[in-house]
Amino acid sequence: VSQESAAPGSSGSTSRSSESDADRRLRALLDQAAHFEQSAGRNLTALALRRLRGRGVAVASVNEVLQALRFALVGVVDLLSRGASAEPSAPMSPGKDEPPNG
Amino acid sequence: MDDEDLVARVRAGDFDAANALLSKHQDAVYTVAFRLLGDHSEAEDVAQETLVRGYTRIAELQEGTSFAAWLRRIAVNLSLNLLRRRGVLHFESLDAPVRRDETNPRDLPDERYPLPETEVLTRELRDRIEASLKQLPAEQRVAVVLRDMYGYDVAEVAELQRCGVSAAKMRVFRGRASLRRLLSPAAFFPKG
Repeated sequence: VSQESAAPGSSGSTSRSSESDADRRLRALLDQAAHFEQSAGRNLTALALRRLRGRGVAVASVNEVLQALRFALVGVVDLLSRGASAEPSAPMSPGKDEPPNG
Repeated sequence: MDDEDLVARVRAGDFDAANALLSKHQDAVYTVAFRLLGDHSEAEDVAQETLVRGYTRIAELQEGTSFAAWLRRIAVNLSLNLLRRRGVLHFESLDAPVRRDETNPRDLPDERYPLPETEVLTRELRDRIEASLKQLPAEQRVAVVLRDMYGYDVAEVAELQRCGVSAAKMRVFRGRASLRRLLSPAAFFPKG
């Protein structure tokens, strides 16, 4: 007997065994139906990506952010590994971004 | 390419993989939203929002978690939020005992028309199931869909519906009873 078959407020006029059997059949039916997917008839993915752009988040820029995060992570790991080796820190990309001395 | 590979590629910034992954699941997302909401345009709206979140929050998907189940959970949450805003899914607990005179006689199981234990559902029967689900009160429809079609346990149904476990059980019980009543004649007297 399933937990749900013993739900409070249920009628006591029906035998529990037959009710459970009916529930089992219904569940089997619903389970099969669950695997049948409907289509909205539209390309929802394309609409979703358009919605994303409509919010000012260009899909390309999302990718750029992901890329930047990955590179940033690599940079952090690099810095940590340098710190662990107790070597004097050196600029990772010396040159053009350095402020002029003096 | 399976979901795991696609997710890895999406995380690596592959937009084509994102398109493939989301397109693969868009019908399933729409279907769960439609079953919960019973409305085509609202289901489309929820499905689109689910896909947006599936893309923008993919970093939150934990290792070993099924992308399909994760995306479905987003669709379920968005659908239930919409039902709450519409005022058809209530927060109040149904744990209080139901008075005998409040029991709808139509909820009683109808044993005269047992459902056939068919292995393959006909299209007609599937359509009938979807149509019958739409006729249920939202709280019962949601409970039955989550419990019997998507395999959530009663505690999860209660959590999602923000009600007590007893109330969730009641909703499942009543929903099943109503469904049996709605489906039995069609199942027992199939056309053709």
